[in-house]
Amino acid sequence: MRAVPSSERSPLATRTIDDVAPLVQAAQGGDRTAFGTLYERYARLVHGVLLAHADRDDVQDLVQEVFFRALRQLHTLRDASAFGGWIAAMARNEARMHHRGMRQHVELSDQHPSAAPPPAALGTDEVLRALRALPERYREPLTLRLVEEMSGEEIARLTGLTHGTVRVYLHHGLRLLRDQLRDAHE
Amino acid sequence: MSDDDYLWDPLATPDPEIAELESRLRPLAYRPEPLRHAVAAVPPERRLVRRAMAAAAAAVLIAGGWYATRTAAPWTVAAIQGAPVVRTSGGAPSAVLTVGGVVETNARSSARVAVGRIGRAELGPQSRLRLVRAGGAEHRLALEHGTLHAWIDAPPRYFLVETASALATDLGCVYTLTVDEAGNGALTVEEGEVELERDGVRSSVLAGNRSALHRGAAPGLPYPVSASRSLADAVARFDASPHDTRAVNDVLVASDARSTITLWHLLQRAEPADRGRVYDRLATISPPPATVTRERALRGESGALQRWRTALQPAWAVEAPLWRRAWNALRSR
Repeated sequence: MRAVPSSERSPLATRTIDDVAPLVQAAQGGDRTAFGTLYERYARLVHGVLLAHADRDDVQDLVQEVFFRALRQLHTLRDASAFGGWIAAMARNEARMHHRGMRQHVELSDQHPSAAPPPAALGTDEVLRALRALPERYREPLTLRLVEEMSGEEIARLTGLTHGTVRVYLHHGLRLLRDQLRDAHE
Repeated sequence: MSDDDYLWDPLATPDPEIAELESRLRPLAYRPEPLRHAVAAVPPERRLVRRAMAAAAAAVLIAGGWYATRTAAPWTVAAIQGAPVVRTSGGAPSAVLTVGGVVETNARSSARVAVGRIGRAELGPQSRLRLVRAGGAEHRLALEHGTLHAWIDAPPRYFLVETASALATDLGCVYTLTVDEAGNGALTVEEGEVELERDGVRSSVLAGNRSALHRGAAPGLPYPVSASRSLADAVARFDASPHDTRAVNDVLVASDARSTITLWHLLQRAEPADRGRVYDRLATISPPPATVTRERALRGESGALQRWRTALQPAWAVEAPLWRRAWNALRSR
């Protein structure tokens, strides 16, 4: 693995979110700049979660919708440090409300064996379709990793999952995704 | 090199297969855009709705500094139907509602009341509403009887409505409050959240939920508007007899995955001997966070219960459809 200077890392990768609680508390107290900062930090997470569930054409729009709802409901969040999990859950609910049709996708079993890598000539829609067919616990972390290009550490920080859980979900999710893509080409 | 390295850290040496997947998916990645500028990107048929949503959001955003000037607006009263009567505290007829004054409607009349500049309220037939306070710290009304439908766009805990049975505190929302002559009634929340409180007992009623009001008793357990008839009936039995083990059992039997808001409140109100079964039912539907032990929850430790609530709450609010919220935003102007 090559060494990566800190200046090359994405802002989200280097920035600690330990300070999310003061930001949330400030936003709850009416500080709109703080809310804007929360939006900047978490919009990508919300986008990834929505993309794992909702129609791709509506996702950018739904990000705004989620933050609109978050602004109105922020005062109900008791544990300010739980903001990431809270807004991710809100994004899931938003996707379910507006895109119930997406839930008709059939989820794969966890038991698929490992297989050959996917063919190179794949379309964006085809890969996205395969991604969305994954079991939910793999679908979101893998979407955040492959679409939003977050690191495993970022995913863990933003979602509140442990490093170990994220690592397992990414690993198993990728294996299932390979199988799904291979099956689609057979 | 293992693909796990690159899978974990995108700055590691790329794995060709994963890099290929990334390149296919990259067009779908988040494109940063300013908050509330989504209107321009939505299809034409949705723009009107989006503009309404953005207008409502903008109103909330600028509420802070502009706030003090909004509260000084007169409380004008307009007839929706018939001829509602407005009187001052001294009983003289008036065109505006003043502190101590009342608005009354009969069976054939209804009224629209401007709540300062923070929203408005519609008073249904056979209602009587009194203005208790209209200041920089809070706007407080008393609904003596009848139906009040409120659209409020203000910071939490600024708009309050007293009833004979409980105090309804607005936490930023649209709701309907109905109270009969005896002081019994119901609160139904359409957007946001309202807190009902009496003698330290609180019901948090989020969008899509309802809570009953009973004179001389604690506010009712909140339950989803879409709840089954059996749950609504069971909640009514518990509200009437909160010490009755059978009433607790009825709620547990009728509860389902949508009624965690009811079970979370029930956990704090049931008799100590019944709380274990409430905990078990709620934990079966939605296990608590690791730090919320059974013992702490049964002891009613506030921190533990609030952490569980934080985990549960995203599923409690059932917001009205987008078109309905946009309509509410327009109507509250």
